[in-house]
Amino acid sequence: MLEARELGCRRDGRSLFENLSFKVEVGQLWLVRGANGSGKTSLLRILAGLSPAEQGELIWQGEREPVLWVGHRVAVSAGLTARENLEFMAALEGDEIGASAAALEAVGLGAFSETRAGRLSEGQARRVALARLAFSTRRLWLLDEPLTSLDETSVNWFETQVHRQLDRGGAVVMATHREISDSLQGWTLQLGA
Amino acid sequence: MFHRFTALSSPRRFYAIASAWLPWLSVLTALGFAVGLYWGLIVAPPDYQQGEAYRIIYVHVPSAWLSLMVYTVMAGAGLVALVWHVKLAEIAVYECAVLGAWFTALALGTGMLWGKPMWGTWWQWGDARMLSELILLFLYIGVLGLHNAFADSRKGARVAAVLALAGIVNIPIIHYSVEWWNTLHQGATVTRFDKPAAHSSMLWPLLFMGTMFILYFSTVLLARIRVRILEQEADRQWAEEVRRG
Amino acid sequence: MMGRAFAAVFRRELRLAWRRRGQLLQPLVFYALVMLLFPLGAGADLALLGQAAPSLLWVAALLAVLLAQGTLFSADLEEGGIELWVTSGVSLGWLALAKLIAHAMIVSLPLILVGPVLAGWLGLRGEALWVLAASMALGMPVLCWIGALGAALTLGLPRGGILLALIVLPLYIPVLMFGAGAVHAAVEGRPADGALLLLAGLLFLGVSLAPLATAAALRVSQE
Repeated sequence: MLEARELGCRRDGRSLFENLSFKVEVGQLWLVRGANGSGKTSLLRILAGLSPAEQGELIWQGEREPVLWVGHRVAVSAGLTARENLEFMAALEGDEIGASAAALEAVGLGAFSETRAGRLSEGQARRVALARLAFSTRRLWLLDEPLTSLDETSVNWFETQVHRQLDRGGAVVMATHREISDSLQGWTLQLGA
Repeated sequence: MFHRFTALSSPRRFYAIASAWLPWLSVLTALGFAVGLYWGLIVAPPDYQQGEAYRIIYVHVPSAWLSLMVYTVMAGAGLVALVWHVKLAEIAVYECAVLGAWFTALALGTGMLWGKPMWGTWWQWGDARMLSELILLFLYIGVLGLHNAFADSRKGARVAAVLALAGIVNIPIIHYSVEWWNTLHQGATVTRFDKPAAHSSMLWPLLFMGTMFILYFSTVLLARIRVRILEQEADRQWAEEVRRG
Repeated sequence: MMGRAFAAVFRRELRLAWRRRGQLLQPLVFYALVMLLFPLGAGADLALLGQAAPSLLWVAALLAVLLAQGTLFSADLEEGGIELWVTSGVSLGWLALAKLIAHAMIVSLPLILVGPVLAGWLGLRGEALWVLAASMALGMPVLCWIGALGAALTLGLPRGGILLALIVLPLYIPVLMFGAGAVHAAVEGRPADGALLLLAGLLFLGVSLAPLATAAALRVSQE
């Protein structure tokens, strides 16, 4: 689906990673691992097209397609309700708006759908952003520490969504510190080794 | 095409080329200035109205030309920096802003010096060109300030490049609006020298000085970019080798 | 899909603005306060005031617009909204256009309504009030868009406020000249349509170029 060739990234005159090559294929899960400051976020941002690849290049098989990006900052607006946030994301990403209510139920936020996101906890806000995994039609998901401040139930739900995505011919690249269930082991990209 | 382009703009290659050219360019610029100043300040005839005071145009007018030309170069470099992420172009944006601000300040300063004997005042609100030049100085200061506000100089350069491009669209509009405002409030604009009076014996040294200013700008730009490359690439091996001599 | 994304951004901006509508009044209060300060500073010389009124009304409105810019994109940056825009696959310039149009309406409309009232307070009468309203309706959006570009350029800088003013104010000059020029003309009984047409030209130029420049600045802010 997406091939990275000899990617390199420098920050403040220091090299984070160099000559990083890998190929994300359909149905694959890639885990980006490494210590804080090893460049996990930088790598994901390059893959997402947020930052330019200053060394090396990204090659899409076929046409370049938009990805689903859930970053460290989850793009949930404090002034909008949980439902409005999710509907906004769906509208922007070309997905079905009608699926929002069910998705919020699924992440356990059914009771909070009309609550302003500013009053939600960090974990709840993250769940609002992740709820769109339930209906997103994007083939490549790029997730930066999606499991941060999630409870056990939400992690289980998340892993189900990843399974579903891989089964239907998508791919997932995610950075995480946490151990994930054995059923989800994928390829590992160790940074800063 | 893109690959060849980036290869040509490799900082290391540029450093080598600039190092080879700089001595020649410097000598040429120094000689050119000596000839141009002698021609303008001594050989050219005095003006029939303004006497000797007009000779400041041999510095003032080329500075004013360059102040605009450098802005155009800066915006061009900004476009390259934004579209292709070429490091050299990013450096050029900032260095052009520094030099452009100096040319603009020089044009303003010499304009005021000239205004004192001509109009009896340092600053003439009725002159649209002086006003435009002052606004241009503020535009340059904005680009410099924006660039310096970012800790990451590469990001600062690209942000400044966006502003430079916005500025290049605005410069003609600003100039037009200032002239429009002028005709509205002051009646006819004060013209400094009547067109027929610019005799060719005065014009040729002026054009020559203009060319020398362009040469001077190119030389200093090259020298400044060269130093900046060495700074930014300090942790690369080739830069280390250059430093050791 | 593009139309839906445009509408979504547009509605979102209006909704957010409505929910903090108290803040929308601040530029208005600022505008009125500045218009109060000028006479107090200048002394109650009514003739002088009447002469300077068009410029004062425009300069104060310009400053009010400038003050409303600083935080335009800061929530989007902190919450990650800009990342969502960039990765959405919809053209960033198109989304920026939606936000800029909403922003111009939110900031300009109240000022355009209040401007003629303040002008009447300063002693402007008759046609000059209409010309002021028209010039503000054409010019304020352009000021908003230039300011939005400034806000996008200074995004993420800890003390961007004064820098924002520094880079934006020179670009405001043509709008100020044509805007105040139109009102001056009306006060002096000259035709104002030339200046208004020039403002309309700037409005079209602004709506076509400002979203592109803002999008470029937002993209760089993410690098």
